[in-house]
Amino acid sequence: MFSLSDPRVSNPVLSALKIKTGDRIISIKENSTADSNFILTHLIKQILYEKNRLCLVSFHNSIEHYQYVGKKLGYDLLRAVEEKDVSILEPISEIVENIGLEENYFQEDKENIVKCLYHDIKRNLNDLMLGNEAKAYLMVDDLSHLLDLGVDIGLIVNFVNYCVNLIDDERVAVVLSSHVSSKIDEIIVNNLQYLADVHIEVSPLKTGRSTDVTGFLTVDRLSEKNQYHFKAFDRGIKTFHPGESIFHLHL
Amino acid sequence: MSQLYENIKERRVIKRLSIAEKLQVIEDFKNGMKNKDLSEKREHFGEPVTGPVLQAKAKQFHASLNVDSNFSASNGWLARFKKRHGIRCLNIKGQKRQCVFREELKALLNFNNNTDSVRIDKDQYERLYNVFNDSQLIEIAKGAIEGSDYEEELLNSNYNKDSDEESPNLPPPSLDEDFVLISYLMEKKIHNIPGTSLSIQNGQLLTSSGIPSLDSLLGGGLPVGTVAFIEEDFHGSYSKVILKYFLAEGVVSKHSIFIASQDVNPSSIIKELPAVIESEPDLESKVSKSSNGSDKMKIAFRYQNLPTSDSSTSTMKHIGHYFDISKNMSFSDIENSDICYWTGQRIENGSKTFSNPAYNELLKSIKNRIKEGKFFLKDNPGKRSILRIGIHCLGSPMWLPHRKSLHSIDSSRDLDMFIFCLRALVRSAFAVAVITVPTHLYHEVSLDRCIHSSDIAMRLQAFSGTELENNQSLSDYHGFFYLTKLAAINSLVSRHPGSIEYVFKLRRKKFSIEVLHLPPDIQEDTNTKKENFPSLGCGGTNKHLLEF
Repeated sequence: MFSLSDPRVSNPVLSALKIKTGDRIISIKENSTADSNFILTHLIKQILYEKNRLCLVSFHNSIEHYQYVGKKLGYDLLRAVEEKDVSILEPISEIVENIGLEENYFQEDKENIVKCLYHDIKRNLNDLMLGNEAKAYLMVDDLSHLLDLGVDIGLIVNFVNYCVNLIDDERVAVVLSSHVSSKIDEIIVNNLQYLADVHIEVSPLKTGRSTDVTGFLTVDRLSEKNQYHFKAFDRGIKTFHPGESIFHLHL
Repeated sequence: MSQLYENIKERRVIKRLSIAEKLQVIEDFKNGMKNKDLSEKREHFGEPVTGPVLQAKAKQFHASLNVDSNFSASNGWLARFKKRHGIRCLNIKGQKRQCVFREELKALLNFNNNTDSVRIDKDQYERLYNVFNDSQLIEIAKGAIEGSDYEEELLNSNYNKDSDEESPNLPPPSLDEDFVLISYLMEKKIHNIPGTSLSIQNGQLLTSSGIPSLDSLLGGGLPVGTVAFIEEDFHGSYSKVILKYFLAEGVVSKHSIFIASQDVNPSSIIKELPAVIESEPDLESKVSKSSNGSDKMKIAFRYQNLPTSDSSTSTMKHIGHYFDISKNMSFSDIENSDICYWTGQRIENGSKTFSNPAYNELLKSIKNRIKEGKFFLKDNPGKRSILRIGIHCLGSPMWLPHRKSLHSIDSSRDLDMFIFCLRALVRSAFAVAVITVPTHLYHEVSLDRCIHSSDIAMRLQAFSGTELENNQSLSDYHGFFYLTKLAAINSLVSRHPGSIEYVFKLRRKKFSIEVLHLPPDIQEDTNTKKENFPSLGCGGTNKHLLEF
């Protein structure tokens, strides 16, 4: 039934995550120095493989980064953008344009930032789903950067709430990632975790850095909780259960 | 020889020849082949001999023999010829195989040299992909572009180790028409910025930090478009040295410079920039060392031929310059370069975004600088250069918000926001920023967000003034160097070296960061022995305490 070329089976990260169509809210928590970006890039691979649509909101990484990593994982993001399968929102570039303009520099009214962002997302999602039956994913790379922009925690929680409510439309699913370093970030993530169907957590090793294992990956569902170690390579990520690292690396 | 050829009128004649004569013919045949081929072989170094090549050659020789027979070098002949001479079909592997494909790739690149991007069809790409990894491809392409000999280095360097590390099971990425990596390189080639090089890992444009050992630690240098965050040592002296190196490198490479500080006058930092020296300071000492090293090891002779230092760092090509910190850079050099100073004296009370308007003002002037100098990625100036942004002592008490506001220095909210905005600015331009922050003034927790927003984070911990100063095993060094974060940009894997402890030392001509090795435990023994002798008591020093 499954072919080997199906990345959901053959790709170690995706087979560890086991994201199904029923998973509508996916939250990603990134702890301190860990880098959870690979989860997003792998999920994009699955989304494009399943011929779904994607709206990517990137605060943390540039599009060039996604394109580069995408090439390594075997998809062409920019071409997907050209074909209108993917739309990308880059608040970073808007910030750059706004610096120095007194009138709406970051908008004194912080609420407006979140409002505009939500309306942008909503419009993009509607455009993506117009005239076809495909599912559309909303993916936000690092909600916690909203904090850096000076947005109040209450507003961020509201924003998350609005985003999550987008799944009222049956074809929409949301992937929200957030970095945790302080108490305030944790509020956002806990809120997310409470709502999520699948909660993914990426942490560094507690004992420090290792050459055999890059970090710790927890996939938490309502029914089960799986823990993995992962090791990042130039062209992919390997996952394995804790303790299996030697077996996998020296095979 | 010619007589022999004249006598041979037909193939039958050859058959009738004696064994010695046959051998002679074959020998000539071989010689002729060798002589003719030698020059060609040099050009196409490592090109494999294939069936069609053999057939073509055989026909050529047949023609040169002037024999009247219809020798067509058929497939049957080829099969028999191969059987006769024991020629087998082998798979080309390893370096040889790389040579073949390197030639192919280079030919391709040269062919397309006039266009901006290189188009490689799918088959070609897959074949190339099977042989090289991405980094090698980039390196070769780079060699072809710059016309330099990267190949030799490529073969000698330890790439094999890298390829072992990679998981072999991953399929090559599907790719249809454009081989983006190389088209990207070609795009960069047009800019051809002085003082930069392309990373072999991810095609990122790198520029030197001015400190060779730091560059190699960061995987070649600071990536353009990133923010490096330096946590200052207690007195801020060593972090200032790093900043000076970074700026001096910019002056020498003719980059534009933006320097900001509220604590000291930025022009004084520029005045104290170290002078450039032409050669590597360690080179002479290395030569003298190697001549001394000729005496043979008697006990641990197995280790005789092992390199004394880590070879992986030395093979990397250094893009920066060397500086002498004891001398100052000449005034003419500084005057000729494009330097922008920011002192924070002219601050308007405009926006309420930051609680201290100085941050806002600084961001604005950086943006204006980028705009004026046409450093934005979308800009298209005649000659592309890089903007180096150095911010000294950001977030120090001089940056405190006004008395009216509720924030104290503990809440580094302004700092978070500033670094995030700076990151956004730098990402969208040909610029690289180094900021030093006196982090010992902050709570550790409040810094995590700053580190998250920056791409490279490092921390200096000087020994002077602490109890580590008198520690004998650390006496060679001036402090600890911690690499807190090295973000994975354009790739999945960070180049962070893992849990290795680094130390730094500042010498007259060199600021170096090294792996901490504890010295052998010889010296301390003498000290501890001394302490064992009781200095007081009525007896002699050699007597046991219990003896009366």
